[in-house]
Amino acid sequence: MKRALFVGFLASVLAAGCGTGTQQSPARLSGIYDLIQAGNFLFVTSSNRDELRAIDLTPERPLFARAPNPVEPLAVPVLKQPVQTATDIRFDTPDGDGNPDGQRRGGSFVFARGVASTEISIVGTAPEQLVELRRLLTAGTVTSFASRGSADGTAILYYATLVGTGSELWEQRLPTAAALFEDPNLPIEAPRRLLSLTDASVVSMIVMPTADEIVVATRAPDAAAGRTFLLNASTLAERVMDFGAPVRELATHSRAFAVESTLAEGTRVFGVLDEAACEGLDTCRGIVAVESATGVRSLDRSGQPMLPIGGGEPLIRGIDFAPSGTQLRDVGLTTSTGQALLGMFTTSNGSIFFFDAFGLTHLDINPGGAGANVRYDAPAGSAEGTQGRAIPEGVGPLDLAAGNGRARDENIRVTPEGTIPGLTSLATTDADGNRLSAPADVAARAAVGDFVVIRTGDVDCERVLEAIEPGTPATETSPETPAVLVVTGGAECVGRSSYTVRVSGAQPYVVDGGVTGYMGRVGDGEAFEFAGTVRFRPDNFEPDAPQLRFRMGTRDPEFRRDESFIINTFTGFTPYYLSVASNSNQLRTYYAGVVRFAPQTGRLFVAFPTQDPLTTSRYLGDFVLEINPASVLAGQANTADIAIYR
Amino acid sequence: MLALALGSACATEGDVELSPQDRFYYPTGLLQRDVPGTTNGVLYVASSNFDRRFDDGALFAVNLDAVRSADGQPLPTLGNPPSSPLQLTQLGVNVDTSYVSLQSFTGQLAAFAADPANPQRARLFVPARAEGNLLHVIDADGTNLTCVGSDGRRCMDGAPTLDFTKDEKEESQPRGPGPYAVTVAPEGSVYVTHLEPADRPLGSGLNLQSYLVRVDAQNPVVVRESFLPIGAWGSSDAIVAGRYVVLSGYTRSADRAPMVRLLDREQPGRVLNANLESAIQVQESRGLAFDSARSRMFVVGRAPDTLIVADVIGIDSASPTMRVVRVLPLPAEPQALRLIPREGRGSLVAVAAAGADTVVIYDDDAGQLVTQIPGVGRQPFDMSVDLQETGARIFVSNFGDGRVGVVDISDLSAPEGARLVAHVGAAQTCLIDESGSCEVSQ
Repeated sequence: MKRALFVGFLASVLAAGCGTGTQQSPARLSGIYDLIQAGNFLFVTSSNRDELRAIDLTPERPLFARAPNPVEPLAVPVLKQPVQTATDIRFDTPDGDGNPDGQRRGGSFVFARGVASTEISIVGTAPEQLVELRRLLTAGTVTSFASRGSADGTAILYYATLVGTGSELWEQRLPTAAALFEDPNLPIEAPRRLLSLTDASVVSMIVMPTADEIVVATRAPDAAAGRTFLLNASTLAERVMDFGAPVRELATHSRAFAVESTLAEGTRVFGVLDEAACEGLDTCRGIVAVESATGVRSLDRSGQPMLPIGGGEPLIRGIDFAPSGTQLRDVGLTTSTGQALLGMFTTSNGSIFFFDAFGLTHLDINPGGAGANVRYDAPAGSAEGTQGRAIPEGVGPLDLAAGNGRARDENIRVTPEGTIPGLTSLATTDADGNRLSAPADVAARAAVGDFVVIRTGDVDCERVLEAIEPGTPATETSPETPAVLVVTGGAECVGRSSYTVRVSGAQPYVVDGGVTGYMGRVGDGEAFEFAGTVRFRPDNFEPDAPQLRFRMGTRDPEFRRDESFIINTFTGFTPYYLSVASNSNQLRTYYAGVVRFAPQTGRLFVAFPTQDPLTTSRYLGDFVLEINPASVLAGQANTADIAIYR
Repeated sequence: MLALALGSACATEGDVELSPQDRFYYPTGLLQRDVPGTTNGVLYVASSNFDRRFDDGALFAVNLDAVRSADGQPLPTLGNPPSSPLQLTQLGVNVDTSYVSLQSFTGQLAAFAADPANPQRARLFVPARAEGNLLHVIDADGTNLTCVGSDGRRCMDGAPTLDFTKDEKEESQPRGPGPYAVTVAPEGSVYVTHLEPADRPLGSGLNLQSYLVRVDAQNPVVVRESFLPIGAWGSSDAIVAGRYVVLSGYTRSADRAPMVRLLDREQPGRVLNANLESAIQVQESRGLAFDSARSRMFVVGRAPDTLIVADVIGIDSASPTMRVVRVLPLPAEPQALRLIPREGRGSLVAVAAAGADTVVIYDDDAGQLVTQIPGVGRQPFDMSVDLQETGARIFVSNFGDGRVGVVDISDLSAPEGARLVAHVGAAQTCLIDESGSCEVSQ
């Protein structure tokens, strides 16, 4: 069957529609789980309607590609519930001199996979081919895919399928979109199985600029065992990409230019670490880059292995890059500055972050540095209230210093005769006598001479710590041997239920961070230093400065148990982020989905799959926002220069 | 046509027109229980009579060994799937013993089995949102159903009401309008959620307050102390996890409800917010489940429609923590969620998506949705899982077409092989056919 008649009709309609500015009906998007740019269109999944929509980026003011009825936006029916898309990527489009320009571009196909589906839809991207050209039936549930385009218009689709507890990786060669469009029955080659992976599922794949190279990220039943590797699809040689943790999404970049250096396309592979791989700890959060040539972690502008770039507790939902020269608005100014390689990501609480993907650091929008101040905090129930009294001259933490790059935004308590974290409300019975069992890993926080407060009924029985017998923390092969705290006269405390250790003796202050946790103890007149760890490298990074340093002054004449000094430390660092203001219930921006940067518009497009037909008074559908980075206000909920597609 | 189609299936009792006795009618809560003497167990299904075409809702006890297709085929055993899903339209129910009337607008269904020596016996609890805001209590002995608090077959007579203070206009709290979800703790505490917050004074829309209502399974009486405040937002699902009752957040307004709250069963006045909102924002949450080790929680989010996976630390402690580690898109209008535990492996999670007429299976080892079961029926509402030796059978109540879908996972290590094997009950095309035709399929 030939489609020539339809081709001509559709092309003419599109051409007319783009130029006339005819009013367009809403697309009523529902389930925008992915966006992808290919050709002159940004394709949008409308998952709940089993279709793709296409935003035509060629007009000065982009609009949905028009249907044969020009007031209606074109819908491209595809497989059920499309949730992820891919396009055939090329980096070798000739520049003015006929050399490859190194810029990543989508090609002549868009691929869509559905929720737990064994199918893949293949859609054309030329204006006259915006239809499902073919639907592949695969050997299992498709979990990820990527595609490489070529100058002749053919493409290679790589995809992964689940097979029992393992996966298979496939290569499918495709003829041109035009050929498939012309002849829906055109035979295509059978897919070639590249790899079988045991006890692993493929969660992400990308194609690299070098021919035959793809990068594959897997997840294993033992979540920490997921791995990432660069695969040569021809030789099947593998190279480990050492992200230090499993990865759940991959990306790479176009050629980028800084003042004195050039970053070749695909030099780095970026990975969004898999939060599920290590119980959500910070070691599995954020974006990390590795060198594709070696697989080792990339160095940031300080020359050190980069630190993960993240958005805090929310999960990263999408990542993309803007080409060199993209303008980003300067903080607090109306001007903007061209970026060498502008990275961007969205988060599950509706934020959009920009970062320096060339220098591999966050962009810091806080002009100040780290700092600290101190105040008294009255004991609970005291007459001073929560503000506490004034600190006498020369008393308490003095000469405070918080290190740029290590300091945290938190309140740190320095508490006279304070309780030791990990050694509070521990169980004891009369049978323990003078020997109290304590967790081996924290017993060393106590010192001989500390107070041990044994709870007996409703009263406390206070004794002095006489000796500490260290224990052995548990290992994977042996259980813990608890430590023993030997207490003078402890046996006299009868009817006991629990005990708590309070610092005393030469170091009668416990230092406890609200975020950091236990930091140590200190005595009158002593210097205190807590090294901490480097969390970011701002412009004024101090590599050798500890997280917190201070000198304890003389003892307060009115020294009182539990009257804490509160040291407030702050990072003086704020990553470049923004949000979009909600507009009552018609524009709900509390969750941001995928982000894509469209170079020909100089703007980013962000999916917001947040509309609920049951709770929205007039349902207009999910929406895509078009945002101009040259005009955004950092750190704020933006309202200006934003276009809505819905 | 309508009268012809339904008339043969309906009965009257005095002036009361009972809801159909030979098929389910807008089924909601359901529960499969293994019962000695049966191979497939007994399926308890609540008919909600959602359009109130009849006077009452109903509860069925269906012996799954007795259901048959029009040509006499029984429910296949797990691992022996038919070539196409069987339509088991003949329920084989003795309406004198295995059918009781309930109030309309039923919600979930939960059971408490107090006597291990008599596993066929259980006490069933079914909340309903129509007049009275009742919590029905029914004793089940296999397929024999008996109303608790009533001598007859109308279990709404004598059922405890959550309209505790409805007649007190000024002091109209505590109260539980729209009872919906129900769960039972191992020791026999029954917890009931309600969807709509109670206002004070009555009808004012002010001073909104919601409750988790606790009653004793053995002595199901609602008193003032039964109402445990949980804040302004109602809840559409509840699950007992160790020390806590974990609650979803429900809203019908444009405001977002708290995603997960925890009511401390040791200190019932203490309600914690899991604070998942610091990681992800959704309009509201629906189904909830914990894995066997209670170290991982699964939550259905709405707008965006998502499966949210969180790691849980210290669920039995005074200060449990939950941290979101994964978010996956789901088909439209996800509703119920049920855990399918696997020995030595990560759990499977089944999610019913009412807007997509499908059930999807998430594999926590793969971190992916690994399969979906199309054709399970219209508007799947609730699910019940029957774990068998190496596999599992999922029963799915289809609110929109009146049937119960039966999905088999014959090998839990290969969940992508899950398939629909049967529908139990007759499809009521009048519920799904916009033409209004009410033929009952056979």
